[in-house]
Amino acid sequence: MFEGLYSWSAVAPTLVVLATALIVMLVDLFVKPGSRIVPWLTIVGLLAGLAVTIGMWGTEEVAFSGAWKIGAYSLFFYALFIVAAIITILFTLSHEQRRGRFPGEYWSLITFSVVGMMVMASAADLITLIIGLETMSLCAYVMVGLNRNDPRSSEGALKYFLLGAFASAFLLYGAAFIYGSVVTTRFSEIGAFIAAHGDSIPFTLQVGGILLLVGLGFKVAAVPFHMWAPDAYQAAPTPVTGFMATAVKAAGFAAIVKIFGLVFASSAVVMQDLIWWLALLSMIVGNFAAVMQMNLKRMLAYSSVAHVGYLLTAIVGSDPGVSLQGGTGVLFYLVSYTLMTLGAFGVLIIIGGGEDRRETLVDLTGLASKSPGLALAMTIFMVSMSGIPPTIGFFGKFYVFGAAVQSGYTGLAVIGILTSVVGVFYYFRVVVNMYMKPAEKSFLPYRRSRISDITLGVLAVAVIYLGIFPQSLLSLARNAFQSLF
Amino acid sequence: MNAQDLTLFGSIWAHWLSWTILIPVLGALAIAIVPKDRHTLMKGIALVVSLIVFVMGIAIWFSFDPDTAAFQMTESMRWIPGIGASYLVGIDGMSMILVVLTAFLTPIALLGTWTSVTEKMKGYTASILMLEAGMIGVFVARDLFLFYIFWEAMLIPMYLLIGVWGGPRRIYAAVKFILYTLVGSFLMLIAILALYFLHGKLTGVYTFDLAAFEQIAIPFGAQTWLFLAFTFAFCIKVPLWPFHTWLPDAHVEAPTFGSVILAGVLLKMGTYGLLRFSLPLFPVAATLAVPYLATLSIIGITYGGLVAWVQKDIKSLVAYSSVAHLGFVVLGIFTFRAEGLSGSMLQMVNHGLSTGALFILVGYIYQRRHTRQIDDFGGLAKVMPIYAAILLVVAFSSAGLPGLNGFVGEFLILIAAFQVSPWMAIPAIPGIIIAALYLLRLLRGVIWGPLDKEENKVLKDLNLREILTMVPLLVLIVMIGIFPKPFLRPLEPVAAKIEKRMNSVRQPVRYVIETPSPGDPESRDTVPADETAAPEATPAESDEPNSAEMVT
Repeated sequence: MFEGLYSWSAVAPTLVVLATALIVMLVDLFVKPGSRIVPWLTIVGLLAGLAVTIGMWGTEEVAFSGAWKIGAYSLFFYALFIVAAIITILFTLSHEQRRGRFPGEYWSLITFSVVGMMVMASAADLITLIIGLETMSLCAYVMVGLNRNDPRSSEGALKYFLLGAFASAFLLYGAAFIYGSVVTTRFSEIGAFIAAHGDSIPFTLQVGGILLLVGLGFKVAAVPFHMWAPDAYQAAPTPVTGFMATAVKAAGFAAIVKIFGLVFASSAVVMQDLIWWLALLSMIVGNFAAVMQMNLKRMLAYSSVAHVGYLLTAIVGSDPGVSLQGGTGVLFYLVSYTLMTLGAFGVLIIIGGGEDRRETLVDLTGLASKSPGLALAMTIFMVSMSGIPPTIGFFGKFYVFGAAVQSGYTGLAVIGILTSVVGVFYYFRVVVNMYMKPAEKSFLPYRRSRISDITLGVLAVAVIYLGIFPQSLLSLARNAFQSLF
Repeated sequence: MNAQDLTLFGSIWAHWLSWTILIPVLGALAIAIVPKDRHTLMKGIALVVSLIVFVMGIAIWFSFDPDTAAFQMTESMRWIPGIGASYLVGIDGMSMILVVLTAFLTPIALLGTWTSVTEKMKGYTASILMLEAGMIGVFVARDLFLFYIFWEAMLIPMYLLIGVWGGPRRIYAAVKFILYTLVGSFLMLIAILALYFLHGKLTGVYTFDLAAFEQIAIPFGAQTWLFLAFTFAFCIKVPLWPFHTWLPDAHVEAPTFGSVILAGVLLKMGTYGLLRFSLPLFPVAATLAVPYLATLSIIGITYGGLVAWVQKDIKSLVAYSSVAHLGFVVLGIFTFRAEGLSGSMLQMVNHGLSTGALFILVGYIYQRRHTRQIDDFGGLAKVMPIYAAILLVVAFSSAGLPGLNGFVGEFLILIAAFQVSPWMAIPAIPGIIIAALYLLRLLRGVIWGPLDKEENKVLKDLNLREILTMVPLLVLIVMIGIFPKPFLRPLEPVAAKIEKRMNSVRQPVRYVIETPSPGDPESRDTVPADETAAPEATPAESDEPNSAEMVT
């Protein structure tokens, strides 16, 4: 395979987003604080990045001596990250900005973190992956702590930072072990080595793989590495939480699919058993812990842990040589999860009124009579998260559990689907509070904005439309996964 | 039909079933844009839309060829080629009669509860129409994926109906309803996936087409598990004892419309599922399950009746009576005999009519007195003679009095059960007597006896709207009772087809029972797709026309 050293085209989308981040940071110095120019400029830059991404669909290129690979897979994730960032920015700018909570660097931080994610999605080498992951994580740590005056926020940020740093250490240590065993950090070469050696792969390589799994498990908050998630989710400003729950998690899975769905996919590797356990524990702990939460951000944090479990279910034992279902399912599910989670957080942002004043279950009481459209949108997102048709969440779940059944892990699928009944309980509790309980007298007013209403509407329609007609997205996801090998 | 020449009508007719699903959805969307306070307009739209669907249902009834078990009015469209799911709809006699029942009960229930809901009208009417679309979808889908979508999507409007417009314990009842149903249907989803991949591995074709699944020989071990998962989901929905505990709560707390539709149509989805999926797809496992399911349904018949007998609340009396009645339906299904199967299908309709009517009647007096306790009534025959007369007929129909509809179905079911084994039929018979007991208790407590409560003395009899709502129900109750032939006719080919399918596996089953080879499911016998009927079943088949005739 020809491996070019430098290639501008292979990094074009990433460069556009990087340039956006830098320009936004510079422009912010010259406008007065709180100006709306900055977020809109960010959106324009991200849209340009999205346009380049779409324009490059179909190209495939390996560059930088094989450390970087751009193809349908990375482009798929680029689009997902950029769309998630744009939606987050739209919600933030319509509801939070006037309060002055979001300094100018917020916009560049969110863009820089997208750059990190894009690096992760195109990494073909452990070093590249770790650089991307660190870029993303550093931005996320800062964004969690944006509520500088709130001690809870600082606590959450510190916890996230310490555990995140810990996870990075695991990751680096794992990379070192792998390098020590195979003398390479290229994914393709590690994969070839494992395929060639079958059952007799060296112990140190196994250890390296496990350490990688631990590190990435921290990043996506899989049980038992999920402890930081509820605190960090609650502490962060709601838009940041939404972004963390979707884009950051998707970036983690961009790496997990590559490493554990492909490089370490051989069943001879002990990793597959560990992923089985991670999936099982994430589904059980995530769903049951979410039942206890009265704070919606914590509830969504635990529910996101459960969704990680569903995603891992698709990866367990899915041999891409036999079937594409597992990897395709993960990509599809990430899109579905991103749309519905951003929608749910969008509703929280709107009723939070810019200060996260309302984020508990009780605060939603009577929303249906106060604001039927908002309540309907929230219901659609909750139904989708429960995995009930006709929503995208249903099809996503159908597909990932299908992957598990196909690779013979029916038991895991049965346990998973039973835990998701618990999920229905707490998602529908939100609906109960919105529709079936009388409105609280103390329901504080909140500001509506056309931008966020339209964004929410688009998300709700997308959740239903892609639930009924998933074929186009499914083909995209399949092409993307196929391009990996 | 000449109308085929008219291109517009012809193209609508070609997608007639789809339109019956789509029109309620469009109606619900229309209601969504009506201004918030125009309550009558919203109810009007809902009624007009459901009447249009009813007229479409009548057209289906009359254009339907009742002499074949083949699917009619079929439509097929590519949908999600990536997983092999397609939009496949079509009706056989069983689907047809249930679609018509749905289209019939929705406007009736809406009219019967015209004034009982006064708040949040937009959500109420939109939920009603979405529910109707979902129910019709369940009965016409012939692709398992499509079926599952409708099966679950229709839960949400029902959940909202119970939870938003229900009684004091509505939230508990709504959550219980949805969680119970979902435990079953989520497991069914895994079973659907397993079946899908099994079919894919055996044939190389990945599809959700129901007809394709019937062609393959499912290994015995897999068949058992798949049967259990499907049947579990359907038994919760039916509900078969001991999975019934969600039903009394849901019925008591639901608004009258919800109760009517719940009893009239939703419960039938469970028995429909048994007949459409559990039996034809997994005949060997179904045959082995007969003793267990027959026992559960007999317990359900007796237990449901006894518990209904001691209820103080009229609605929960009717709810428990549903458990008993549906027990009969399941018993009839697991006879695997044509009479029993067609009796069960007819009994599904009968139960929908008489229990639906009972719930509407309970709603009438509840709206007047705001209580449903039997003890609060008494002697209503003196002040509400029309009401009393209607309640009498409907209660007798529910009790299975000869000459009314309930008798026909129960009679056919018992005949078939006797043919299978007296042990299947005799224990079910006390259930009939118990049914008479609890319904007579209802009548004695409500319309007979002394008129000793002051509040009851001033009650107004039914008004014209309320009477008009009941007339179609009464007509059908009497008509099925004395002349069931037109209603049995479309069901008989379907029943015969299922009987043939079940008979085709009798022989191998015996073999499997006699020579079990545990721990080696692979070598077990698989289902021969079309083997000739076992000889012992032949006399039963020849009896079939007679038994139907006898009733008329």
